[in-house]
Amino acid sequence: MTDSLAVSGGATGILARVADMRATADVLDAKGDVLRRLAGEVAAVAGHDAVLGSQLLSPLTGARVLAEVAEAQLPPAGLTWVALEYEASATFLRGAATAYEETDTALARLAELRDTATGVVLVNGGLLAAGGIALTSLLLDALPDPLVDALTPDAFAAWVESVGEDPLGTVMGELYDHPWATDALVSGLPWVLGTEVPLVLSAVTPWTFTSVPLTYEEVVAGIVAGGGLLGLFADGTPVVTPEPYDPARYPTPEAWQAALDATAADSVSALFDNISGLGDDTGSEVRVTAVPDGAGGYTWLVEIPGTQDWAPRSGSNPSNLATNLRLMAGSHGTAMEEGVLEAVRQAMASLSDRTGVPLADLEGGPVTLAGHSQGGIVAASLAADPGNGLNVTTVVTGGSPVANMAVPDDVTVVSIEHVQDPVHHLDGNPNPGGPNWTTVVRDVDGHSQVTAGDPFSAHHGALYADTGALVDEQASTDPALRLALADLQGQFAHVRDGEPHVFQFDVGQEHP
Amino acid sequence: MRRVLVSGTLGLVLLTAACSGGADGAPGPAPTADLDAESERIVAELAALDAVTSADVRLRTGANAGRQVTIDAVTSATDGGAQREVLEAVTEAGWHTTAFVPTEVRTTVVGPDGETLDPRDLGFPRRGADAAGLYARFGAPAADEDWQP
Repeated sequence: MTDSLAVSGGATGILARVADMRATADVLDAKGDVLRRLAGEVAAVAGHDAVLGSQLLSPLTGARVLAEVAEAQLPPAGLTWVALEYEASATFLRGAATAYEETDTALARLAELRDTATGVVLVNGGLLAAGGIALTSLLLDALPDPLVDALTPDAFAAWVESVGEDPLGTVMGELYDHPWATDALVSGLPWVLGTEVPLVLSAVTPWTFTSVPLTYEEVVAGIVAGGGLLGLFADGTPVVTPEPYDPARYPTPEAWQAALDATAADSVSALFDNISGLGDDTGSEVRVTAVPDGAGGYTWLVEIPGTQDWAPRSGSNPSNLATNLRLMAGSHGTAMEEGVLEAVRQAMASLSDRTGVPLADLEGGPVTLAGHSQGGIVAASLAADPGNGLNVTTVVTGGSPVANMAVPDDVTVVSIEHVQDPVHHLDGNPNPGGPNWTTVVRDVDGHSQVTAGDPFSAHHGALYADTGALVDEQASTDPALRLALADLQGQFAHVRDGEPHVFQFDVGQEHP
Repeated sequence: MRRVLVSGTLGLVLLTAACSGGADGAPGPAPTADLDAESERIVAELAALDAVTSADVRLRTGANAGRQVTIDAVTSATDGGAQREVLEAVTEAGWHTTAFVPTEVRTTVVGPDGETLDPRDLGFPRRGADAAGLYARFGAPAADEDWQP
């Protein structure tokens, strides 16, 4: 286990440096233009009437003026020459920036090809191995023991037996040791389903099946559509209600509200700590915190939980498998997204009633969306949906596959991931490395809350709260983290110094 | 090559299981009925404490929750020190569930005036007390006495 974090992308990432190079080139160009204009003005001196006239009256002085004008244009310090140097440097920087970008794009394409090819090999190899193991097991069971002993080396027999006894445990162990396998499988699956399966079907049946180039989103959409025929993966209509005051626990509603307010998140760790406790037997929950900004306005922190209901047949909890699939298929407007939006709207309306601050002012306040697992997908999907009506400025995700979300450049994204956690690999792609998107990765092998060989033990919310504490700690010394968290740290400071108001909502869904 | 083949095969099994709701990711999740029974046992255990007037206990396991114990208790104790003692007892009871070794124990104790304590009042860094901290404070968990952080 390591307590150090690997930080990539963001304001100190390669793409940010490329943007810096282009900005520097623009500055050099502008300076070159200024120098060129000055050089023109100096050159004009040589043709000025007074100078030309002086050539007759004092040829030596006139010649010296012309020589100095010429010197002011020529190398090594002449204006025209320096202007040329600036412009040449600008051109070089732009070229280098383009080369960086093209190399980065080419490497990304190569990585995608590598993952797809590896995934295809894994899927096919896996199918062959599964078939081989099944056949071998049947054969070994059918044959007399002495013959089996003679035919199979002990090590191979032991391996087949161990895999056969606990196939899920074996795959868990492999995924824990080789997290890249999830990326590869996800990348390879569209090719296998869209190209290979039709080829095989065409070969083994009398019919012809045409290959169809599929994207990841189309595959997931196909699963949703196929499930829909069987009544699975249905999305509902959100039902959002403020968490009711419980008089059996608190003597007054004010005492209960004070207890809620005392839990407002003032750190990345606290965000994930709060999120880890959301959701109960009856449905999902969302927390919305109004944070006074010190100038009469408010900013907002929204905490969204991960998947709670894994059943393929949707029930009353919208934090479910159907929402996962629909979001990964690129859909917007799922019941959970609408539920989060409704919770924020209700919180804003309630605060407006309570404080007298105009609702329109509250609606324009900066919003941070934070979520673990599916909660992070919901957060990124909302940020990527320009029609959501919120001023989303920051997204914080923990263990969420959000690489394919088209989050606008003006939204800061901080994605926290664990090396052994397979869930954030389910998008099949690395996170974008632009200046607005910072990815923080931690190796949690050996952590007391992680079970070796069980990749999903590296996924739970409390562990992301623990990693959040490291993020908070290292933000003071790591420039990339400090820049990425600058706005969020400002919100946290206002939570500590002000009087935040926490709204907690039950979020359910109804089906027709 | 063997690893590649195995991970490929079983990766498919995993994805299929995940999509069918079969894999919630919890290491050895207990059946719901068992968790309900264990919740009731802890409620009864806490009800036997003089200063606890009510307790709501919830155990859950899964990829997102880990192995989580949540206890919301109400106490008649009015003194801050006594309330912390109740919180300590409640948190220890959660840690010593027999259902599993918790990754996290989340507890609140509410006093008569509405004052609310959580594991931060015992020195834990977060509202969810972590396994390593719980082990240091309460020793090995009842679910696995050989367990160490």
